[in-house]
Amino acid sequence: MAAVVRLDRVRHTFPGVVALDDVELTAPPGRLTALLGPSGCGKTTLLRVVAGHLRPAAGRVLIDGRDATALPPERRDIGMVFQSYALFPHLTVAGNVAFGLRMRRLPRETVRRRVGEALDLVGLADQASRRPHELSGGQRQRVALARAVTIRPAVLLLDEPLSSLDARLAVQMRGELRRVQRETGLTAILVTHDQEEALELADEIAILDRGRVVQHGAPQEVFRAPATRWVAGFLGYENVLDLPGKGPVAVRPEHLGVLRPGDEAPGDAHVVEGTVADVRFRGTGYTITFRTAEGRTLVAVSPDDGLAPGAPARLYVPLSRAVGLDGRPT
Amino acid sequence: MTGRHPLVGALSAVALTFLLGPILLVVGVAFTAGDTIEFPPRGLSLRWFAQALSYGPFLEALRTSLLVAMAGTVLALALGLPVALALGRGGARSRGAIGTLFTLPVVVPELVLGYALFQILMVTFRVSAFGALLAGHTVLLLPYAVRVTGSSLAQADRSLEEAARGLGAGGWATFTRVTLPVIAPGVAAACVLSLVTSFNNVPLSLLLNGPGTTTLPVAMLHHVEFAFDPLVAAVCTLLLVLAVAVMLVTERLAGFTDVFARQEADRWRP
Amino acid sequence: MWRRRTTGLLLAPGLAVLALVFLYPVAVTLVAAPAGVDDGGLADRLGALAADEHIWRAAARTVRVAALVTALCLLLGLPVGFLISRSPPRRRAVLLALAVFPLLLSTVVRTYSWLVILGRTGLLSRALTGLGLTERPTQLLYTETAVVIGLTQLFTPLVIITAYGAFAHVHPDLEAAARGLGASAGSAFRRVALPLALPGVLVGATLVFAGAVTAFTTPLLLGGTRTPTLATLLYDYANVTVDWSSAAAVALVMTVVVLAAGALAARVPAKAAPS
Ligand SMILES: Nc1ncnc2c1ncn2[C@@H]1O[C@H](COP(=O)(O)OP(=O)(O)O)[C@@H](O)[C@H]1O
Ligand SMILES: [Mg+2]
Repeated sequence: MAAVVRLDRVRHTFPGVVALDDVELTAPPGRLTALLGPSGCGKTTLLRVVAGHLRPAAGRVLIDGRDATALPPERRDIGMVFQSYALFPHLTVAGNVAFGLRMRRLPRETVRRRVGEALDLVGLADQASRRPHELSGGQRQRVALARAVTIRPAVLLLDEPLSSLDARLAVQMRGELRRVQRETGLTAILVTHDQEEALELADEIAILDRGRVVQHGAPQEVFRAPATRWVAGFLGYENVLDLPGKGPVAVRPEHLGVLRPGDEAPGDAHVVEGTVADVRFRGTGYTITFRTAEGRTLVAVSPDDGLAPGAPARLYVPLSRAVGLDGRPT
Repeated sequence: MTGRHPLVGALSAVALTFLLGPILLVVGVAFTAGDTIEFPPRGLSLRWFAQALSYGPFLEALRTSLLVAMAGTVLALALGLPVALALGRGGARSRGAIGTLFTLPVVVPELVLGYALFQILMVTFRVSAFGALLAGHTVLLLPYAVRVTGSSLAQADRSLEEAARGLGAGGWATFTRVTLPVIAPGVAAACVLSLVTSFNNVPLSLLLNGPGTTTLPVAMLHHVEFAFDPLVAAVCTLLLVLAVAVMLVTERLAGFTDVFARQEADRWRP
Repeated sequence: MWRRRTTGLLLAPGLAVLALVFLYPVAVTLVAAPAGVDDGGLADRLGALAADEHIWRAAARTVRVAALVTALCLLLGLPVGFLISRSPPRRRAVLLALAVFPLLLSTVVRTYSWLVILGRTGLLSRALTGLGLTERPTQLLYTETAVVIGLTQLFTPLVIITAYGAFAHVHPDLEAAARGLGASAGSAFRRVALPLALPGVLVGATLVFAGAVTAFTTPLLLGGTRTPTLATLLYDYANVTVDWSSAAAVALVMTVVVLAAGALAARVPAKAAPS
């Protein structure tokens, strides 16, 4: 049943790259931990170490407190959804889902029942006899998920499971993933480079940068208080400016307010003077690039137009939204 | 478009006629009622086909050819597939060098290989002619076996095997239940290619000749050297039919043109 | 990824057979003297080489024939390869199958037809006399010309295949762009398609050259004993006159020529390989 996964100073290098740099991480039982980081930061490598496809150069992988570092993948009891889904092309949907059960030499009747249950869980009962190449992207994703959970693993690993779906389907599948994880009560580690996906799905978020875990906590906590300048930038705190008395702070574009001539800034805010450099339509509003008197560039999002490049304008920064960067490592 | 230029069409027509015309001519010769190789044929009959199908030396040579081709193919695959697996999935440090080593038998002239095997295996170590012939064909086919199955492996998604392991399959079960089915078209292609290559080989078969080890192409060659009758034309026609059959079957299995075109063109690429 | 031991176990049988049935025999034959053969190895062999005029004449003929065959194969194969690369899928498959089909046949089968055509009473001879172009039957068989014709037919498929692969990598839009900029069809081909396909075409040319240098059946059947090439000479020394030292010398020359051609081909950028 739901297990705790702990990585203890796990280190792995490929020629010329430190893919995992003394990673310490605990994925609590029954919860979904998201590993968030840019492409190439070591997310897949970390999952492969947990699943046993890669033997780390140093460190230990503990599953429920037992050292699993030397166990081959087939003896770890871990379900994995691969980024490419890795569905067996020569087997039907049912054959794919049954694979792990057959390897466990379960009675035929049990296999049939559990395959049925798994396909019901992901809503694919009517596709059982199809081949992977006959399915849509979303359906393949569901088969991969069913195949991974049907062995009732101790841990479920998901490597960017939604990244090869188109944007709308990916958002829809988030709910599906969350539901399956809740219903099965599995400990899950989900890898993604999409912060929105991580924030929405995860119970906990760990942020990975160049093979290091740079921050780990609840989504709200990570989002509101990025631990480093790099995390702040990665999470969309694009604007950096100096506030009198507070030093350097970072602010998200959607939190910067645009003041029209004669408008007053709200009480708890700092006002910045400058000129409009560029205005771009973005559907729900406008993205305004703003040059401050000190020569910094700030980006704000405004619901309405009425600003022209070159025009003087004022922005305000709500102090509660500004993340102080002083004292945070880069 | 330049591809539709009349000059390109005309030159291509000439080339294809030059390529295929003579082969078709032989079919005409085979149906002659006369006693000499002649086109147009002198009267029509099936007598040379009847004779070819009952001519002892050719039948025995055919048996030898099929035996060597099949045994050589099985051996080459049995040796080559593990090598391809080791090169494609293993952690060998000297993969590049070993891979190159296994391409050498097609780079060294076949006649040289045949002569070397004759000298060392038959003269020095007194290996039987059949043993030397089979060894020679096996080693000649080995590069094809390694490369064709290897390129199939390289194309197969590695995470398929990882997925199988994660679902509880051990190394052997992963190989038999996932790797092998996934690369099956490549294995089939390697088989066809090996069978054809061995069946058609002349230089090795000629030099590693001994009692009862004459292969069909060699028997045909000897016959042509000494007799000027249309018997060989009839055999050529039968082989042509066989080749068409092989082409159609291979097209089903793995894409005929892919298999043969790619292999010939890749000969020099380790 | 498995442990090193598994990898070793997988490689061992293949490597053992390769070493015993290929590397050792070939190395010994080419470089050292095989046991029981009374010669001093490489030194004697090079001596035999330098002294034997037959070998040099055959080598010169072989290279000359191979060069001519390569040129003719390019002439015949390039247009077909280009045509195939620019054909719609169905026609492409049919044409490619036609071009590749001969590779399924033994060289004996493919060369046999030329006996019908080139002999004294052959099709060509009778056609020439029939048209009044020649008075007496023409014997083309057992000449260098016959060998060149036979080998050209044998190896044209290789050029077609490699040229097709190379031209398929050149996007037709590139030619369209050249046409749009004022190039004629011919100069679009010459200045855009051909230069881009050249590396692949060179690979094909090398294959043909090496194949023609080592070809055996065709020179034997069409060239006869009067026009020996390295291959037929090697067979002669090995099987007829049983002069093993000279046979090994010829083998050495042939291997060197082929490996040199192969080394040249390996230097061509890999992107030109057919897809
Ligand atoms: N098999 C490998 N060989 C060499 N380098 C690798 C290999 N796998 C991953 N890497 C490198 O390790 C780093 C981390 O890769 P990966 O874990 O795949 O990142 P992510 O999944 O976060 O995009 C990258 O720099 C990548 O290039
Ligand atoms: Mg990844």
